[in-house]
Amino acid sequence: MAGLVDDPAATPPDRGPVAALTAALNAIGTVWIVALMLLIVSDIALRNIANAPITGVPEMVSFSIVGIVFMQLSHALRVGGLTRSDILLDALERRAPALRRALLALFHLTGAAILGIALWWFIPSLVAAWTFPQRNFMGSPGVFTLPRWPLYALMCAGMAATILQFLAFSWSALQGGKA
Amino acid sequence: MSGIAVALITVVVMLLLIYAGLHVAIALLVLSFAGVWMLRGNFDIAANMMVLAFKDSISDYLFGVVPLFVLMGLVVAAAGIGRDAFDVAHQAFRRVKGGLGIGTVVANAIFAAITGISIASAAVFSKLAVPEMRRRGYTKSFSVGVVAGSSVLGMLLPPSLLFILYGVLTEQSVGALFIAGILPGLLLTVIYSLGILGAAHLKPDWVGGTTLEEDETPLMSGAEILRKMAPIILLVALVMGGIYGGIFTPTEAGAAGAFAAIVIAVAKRRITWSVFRDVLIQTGHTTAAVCFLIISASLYSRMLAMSGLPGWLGTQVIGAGLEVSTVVFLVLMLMIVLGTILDSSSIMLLVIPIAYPLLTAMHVDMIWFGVLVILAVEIGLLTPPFGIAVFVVKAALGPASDITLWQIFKGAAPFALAMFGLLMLVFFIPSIATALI
Repeated sequence: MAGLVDDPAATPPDRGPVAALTAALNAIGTVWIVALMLLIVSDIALRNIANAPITGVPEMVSFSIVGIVFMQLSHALRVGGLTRSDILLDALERRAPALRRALLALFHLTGAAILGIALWWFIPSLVAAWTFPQRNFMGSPGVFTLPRWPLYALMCAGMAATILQFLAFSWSALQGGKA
Repeated sequence: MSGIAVALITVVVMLLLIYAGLHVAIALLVLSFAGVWMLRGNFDIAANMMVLAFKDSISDYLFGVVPLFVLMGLVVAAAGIGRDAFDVAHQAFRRVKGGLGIGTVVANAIFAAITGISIASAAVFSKLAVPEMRRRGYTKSFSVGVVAGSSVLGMLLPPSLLFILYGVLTEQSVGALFIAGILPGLLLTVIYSLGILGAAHLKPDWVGGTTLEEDETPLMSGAEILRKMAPIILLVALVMGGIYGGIFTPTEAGAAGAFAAIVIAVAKRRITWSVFRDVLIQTGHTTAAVCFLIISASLYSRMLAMSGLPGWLGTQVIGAGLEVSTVVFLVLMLMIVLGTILDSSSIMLLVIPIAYPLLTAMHVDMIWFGVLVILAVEIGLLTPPFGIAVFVVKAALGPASDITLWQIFKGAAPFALAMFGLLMLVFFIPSIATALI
């Protein structure tokens, strides 16, 4: 449950294309949370008061949570919101700062690499969902369906932004800056 | 190399990498990916399994409410509803030695009923109770210890995000888990309060501030108290009444509670637009961190299932002739040890996929076990070197504070010990958890 208290000092300055990209995705994810809340509250109200539940709420909620997470991921990484243990890194900061920077650069590259693999193997899903929307949907035909390709596109965008953020951190660690 | 060996090696390497400072979620992804690759000898299968985990592991209604529970807790915190509970509890215990400490514990218990995350409690009460206690001569260590220690009530008393997570992992009813948390939560409140009372009489040097000086603040009238308590009572009634009155499900309670908290905060003019924006951004970060962890942990548990480790472990344990209670005890101890380096959800996501098949095969009551798990991982919030509740207290006090991280850990230690005592109580007397269900 890390990341519940953002440390403003740890946040890199909000400049550059990576910062703009993460901030934009973060804004989408933030508005989305409010929309999700209003959707569920409306569903509760309508089905209790008017006996008219909104169709497709479970599908929309499942769709939304994945979207929200991938929209927020790069920004959460940027502000130090993803859980990691600082024990060794803090000890190294005093004794061997160069080793600490090398280790950080390596860790951030690892993050970029594993998400790079995920993104590369994810793209065929996006292409398939875009090409055959009739086969790639959530829900049940005739009742309520939601195409999958917009979600997959957002997930790819979120992964790409997170990879860029990892690379930026890695570069900054090698340069001797904060990461 | 056998599947078991691959699984054991990946688990060990993963723990080493996590200790070294690799992001927990990334460590889980990398080692699960490597594990599947070694087990199947095929890079494509490993990559595709990761893609599948990204697509389907959190795409569920239950996870959809994670941000809403976080949002509810943070809005309630930002709207000063915690301060109201604190003011009232403070007045109620003003004639008791160590009363301010007890007041903080009780206010936390009340606050816990409208928030599902411990960090919200820790952040709110660090800003409220710590300065007040210091002003009245309580020691540094005690003031911060009470706040960090009682913040765990937020997760134990419903609604609770950890119980939802546990319910998802073990396919147990979230409503039943919520009810199971009530008695242990109240019991912990009583244990803390009696402990503080005892300490104030027996070890006044450690508590400090035990002289019952004249209280210069004017007493609140009944109407004032009612005005302060109304939003809390309203929220508790709405959330609990809604769940158990069948208006909405426990998972929907986050949305209803967050919405009601926002309405109350706006009506009382307690929240500004910019604070609300910060709360939303914070909610997003927490959601992303928790859910990304869940995605990677789900890949990890699929890798473990593929390796055959859980089944192998089961036959080993049964072959060794260990009793059920011994196994449960060992799992809990493992969780407490992991709590020194990991946060609550990571521990649950690491251990439960291995322990769950084993324990269900041994017919362990998973509701009872759920309460034990929450207690075990919450002890980890208070133990060094990685104790989130302590970090949050430190962060909430701000850089200008003269209280060190180590002093907070020291102050919280007796509370962690009390939690361990409660863990043992629930372990030996399961009905504390199951009586109300």
